[in-house]
Amino acid sequence: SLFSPAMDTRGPLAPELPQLLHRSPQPCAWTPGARAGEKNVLSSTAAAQALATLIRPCYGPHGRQKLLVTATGETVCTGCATAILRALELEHPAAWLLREASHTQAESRGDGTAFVVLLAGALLEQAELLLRAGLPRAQLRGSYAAATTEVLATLPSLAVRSLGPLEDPFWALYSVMNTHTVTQTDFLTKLVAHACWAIRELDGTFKPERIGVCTLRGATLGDSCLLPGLVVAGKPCGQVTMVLRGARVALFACPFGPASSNAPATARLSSPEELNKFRKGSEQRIEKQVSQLADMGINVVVVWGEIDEKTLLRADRSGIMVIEAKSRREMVYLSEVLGTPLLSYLVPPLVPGKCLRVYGQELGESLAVVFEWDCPSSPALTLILRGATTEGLRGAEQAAYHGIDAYSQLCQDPRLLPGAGATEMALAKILSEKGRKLDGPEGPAFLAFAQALRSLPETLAQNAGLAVAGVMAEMYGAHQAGNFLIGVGEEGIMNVAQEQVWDTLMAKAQGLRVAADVVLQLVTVDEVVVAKKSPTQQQDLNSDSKKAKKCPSLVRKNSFGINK
Amino acid sequence: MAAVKTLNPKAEVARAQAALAVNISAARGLQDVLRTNLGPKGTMKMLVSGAGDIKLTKDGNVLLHEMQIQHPTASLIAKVATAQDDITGDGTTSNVLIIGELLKQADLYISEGLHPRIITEGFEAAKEKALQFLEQIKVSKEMDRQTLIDVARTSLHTKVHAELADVLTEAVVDSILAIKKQDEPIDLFMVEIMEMKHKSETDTSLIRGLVLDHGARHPDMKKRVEDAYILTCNVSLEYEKTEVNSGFFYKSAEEREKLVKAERKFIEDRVNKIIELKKKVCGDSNKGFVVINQKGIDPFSLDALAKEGIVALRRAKRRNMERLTLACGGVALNSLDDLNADCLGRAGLVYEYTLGEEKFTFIEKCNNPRSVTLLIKGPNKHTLTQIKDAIRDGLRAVKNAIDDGEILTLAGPSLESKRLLMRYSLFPRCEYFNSHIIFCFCEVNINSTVLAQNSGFDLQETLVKVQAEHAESGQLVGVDLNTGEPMVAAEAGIWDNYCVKKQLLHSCTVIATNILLVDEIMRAGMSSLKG
Repeated sequence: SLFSPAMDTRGPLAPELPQLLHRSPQPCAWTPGARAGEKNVLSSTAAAQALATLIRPCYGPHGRQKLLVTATGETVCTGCATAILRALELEHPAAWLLREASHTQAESRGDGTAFVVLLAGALLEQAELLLRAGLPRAQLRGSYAAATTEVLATLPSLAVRSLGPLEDPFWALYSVMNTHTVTQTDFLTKLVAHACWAIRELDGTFKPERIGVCTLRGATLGDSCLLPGLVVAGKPCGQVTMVLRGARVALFACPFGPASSNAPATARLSSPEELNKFRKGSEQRIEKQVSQLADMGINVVVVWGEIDEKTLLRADRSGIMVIEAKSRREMVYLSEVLGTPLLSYLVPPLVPGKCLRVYGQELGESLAVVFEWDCPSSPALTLILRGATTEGLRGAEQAAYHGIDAYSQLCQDPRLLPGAGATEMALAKILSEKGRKLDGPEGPAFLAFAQALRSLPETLAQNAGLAVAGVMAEMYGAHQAGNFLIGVGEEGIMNVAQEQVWDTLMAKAQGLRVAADVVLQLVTVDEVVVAKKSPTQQQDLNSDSKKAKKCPSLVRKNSFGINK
Repeated sequence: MAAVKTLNPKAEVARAQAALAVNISAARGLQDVLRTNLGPKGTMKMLVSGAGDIKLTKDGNVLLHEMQIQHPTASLIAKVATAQDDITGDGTTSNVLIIGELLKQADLYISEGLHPRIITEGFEAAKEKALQFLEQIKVSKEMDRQTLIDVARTSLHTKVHAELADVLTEAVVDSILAIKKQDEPIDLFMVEIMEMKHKSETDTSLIRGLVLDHGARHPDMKKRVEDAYILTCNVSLEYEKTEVNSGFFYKSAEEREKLVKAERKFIEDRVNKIIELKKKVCGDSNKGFVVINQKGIDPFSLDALAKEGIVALRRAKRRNMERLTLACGGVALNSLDDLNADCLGRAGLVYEYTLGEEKFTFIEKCNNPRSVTLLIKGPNKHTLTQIKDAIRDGLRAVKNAIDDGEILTLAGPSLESKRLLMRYSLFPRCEYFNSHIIFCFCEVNINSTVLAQNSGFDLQETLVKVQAEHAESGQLVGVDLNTGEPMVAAEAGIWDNYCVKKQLLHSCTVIATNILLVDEIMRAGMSSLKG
């Protein structure tokens, strides 16, 4: 017979065998795929929203601050979304993605991190509604992508102002900086605008790294000033600690003293006479080298390498100031600014770097050396920020960097968008008008996108302590009437052009794109599979926080290169 | 009581139907996990590794590798499916789905009392028929660029979203066409894949040349050189310690100074040789000269080279040395003794690109490069890995298409409808049981239905439409995922690899057969291995 008797009865499932798949939720259950997955998207929405709720109070010029106690016990008071997200220990992978998105924004544009988180949160919230209504995820993604393209295409048409090449950038930078500092925005913006203005070259190129920002505790923010020069970590070694007039600088990336060979070399001396002779000989050599320098008129030497005692003594006698640099990067930078090569032999350079004066300066706990130029023609500027508290200084420093970043973006693309939520409202209006006419899933998706955009001015109004519903209604009305310059101000709606609140087009466009990207990724995810945690993750977090900490006041910001 | 239990009371045993039920439910469980990820409209899965790295993917191969499957049957299936990927680079998800569906159909017959052996024989017969059918419908075409683009697009659309897939398709096909040589097997290693965490994912592009992930180490060296000679070498340009333990002795400061100089002499001679060559070939012209060295170059040598306007890169990766000569021409030198102008390669443009802390050197505009670089860009790490996996599969798909000679078969959705054709044509001719089983093989319309389901269309409706269209026209019909209507896949330019489908039919039949024939599962090994 073909039928085996053993096959007649069907026994139950063998319960003693282990679970089917590692961590996959009920693979045996015959739920249709779509339904089983839905839970996961919804949960990632929840994570994104939790994050958005956290960041929401910090958005905009009236945003509040948060007091963070980091894992290392450091207490930070900040309103900066990046810092807050960094301090959080996130568990949900969707939240990681969101944090990464906002970091990308921070790295490339410096501004708009809170915007990214809030917009992504709002978009996911709307996506959840659409998913619940039964829209398949693939279609949702497609129509969201279409809406994003539409938004990015419309955005440039809203740019009504642009910074002229000969215009004082004060008004353009003000609103960017106003979002970040607490007090004396006017004064600070004036300083930053002045610095940017001075550093910008005639052909329009702007090198943001030419403006250093340096914080110095004490006095008040009002005492901050612009130093026509540059501050480098390092210390004067010899007796000469300052050159006050006509400094001529040589840079050496080799030991300051007799050259040493790679192979072990030993002096072989057999008598006291030989020893004396040797000493004399080496002293002569040193003298010769140093006098060579002195003959060229070099009076400042910056060394990255060992400094020989005797050579130093000789240099002191010739009135040469010897500075020990702390990092090679600073040396390369100095060489660029001073226009003198970094030498690997102890010979005088053909063209020494020239500046007005060089002197040591105590900065907090560390020593620094200041290179100063004549005021108008200085190739580099340093913004010295003063303040009574570390927190205040940190805020001011952040704001200054944001201002410089914004200016460097404006040099590439001078277009400006109306700020204070006006752009978002205008976009929302255009989108919903388009969406109402569209068939298929794109229509609702456009409307959802518009709704998500509207949540941003709403947040602004909320943070400013206004009656949200009323303000939003007024604003909506104004925009419907075609006045797309209406935004949220301190006391209700305001005309953005009159109040001079502007955002750079580049930052806004990038922020929209980043937020949309992360949302497009998250809506297609139908399942999150998390492996067991391994101990390496802990280490990763630690190294992260170390990186974050390593930002002493002197280190020049190095993320500018990205702006290309 | 199983016999094993008397030998080892701790053994876990599942027998007969129980064993079968376990196996089948494992296979279907896996099928269920992967079914939403099939096709261009499939959803993604987010995988988080133990170390906290995120991967977003719908590539079956990646999923099966990363999911840490513990169930024995499921991992058996996963291994077969990933083996499919190793051989052909594609078809992993389909494989899992078809195995699951075969077992589901078999389950029906077994529950009616049919012996598994009969079913497996039927499977075997059905596979033969299917392969014959595959032979019939395969299309020989000349592998021109358009066809290859169609093939690559079909593969890539199932891995990443449409906009990105279109960008990648062109890049992948062009890269293969660039490195392809007449009558020689394609070496995919000649396509360098470089990542750059920068801008957006659609900025991914093909560089006809090479991208090195480091820059010149001297501030005075030019950042941009045009019309450059490239010297590829593996010669140390830095001081090296002697192998025997040696030292110097000196008596006076002058002697010491001399020693230091003599020590450098050896390296300086080498550097001077390069400089001489540069002077000879470039003369006073504007041409650039780039030295790319696998070994180190010390600051002094860099300095000397920089003074002559030579751009020098040190510590290049070994595999790049091979690619460099392919991309720019020239010979990689292991010693500078036979240095002459013939050893030099040429490149139209060499420039450095700085990205925060990282530096990249682009060597572009090479004449007829035999090695190219796919430069992946993306805003974050998981996007980069996703693109990397997709590109790998895309390259394989194109390579397969070329390797198969001129053979291709119709693509994805429509392959399944050919089984329908088979079903009608075979039914009257076969023996009763076998035909029944073949019938069930035919029922494996799974791919069409899942594709339709993933795109949000009604499953039954689409299936009926496709069947009707097929019966009417006799053509090979698939599902248009944008409209849910049937379409002729060939006209839409959806092509798939012959070898993938062939391999797919082989491996899924074999594994389904194996699983069906299991009548006992035992775990009676060392307890330490448990869980």
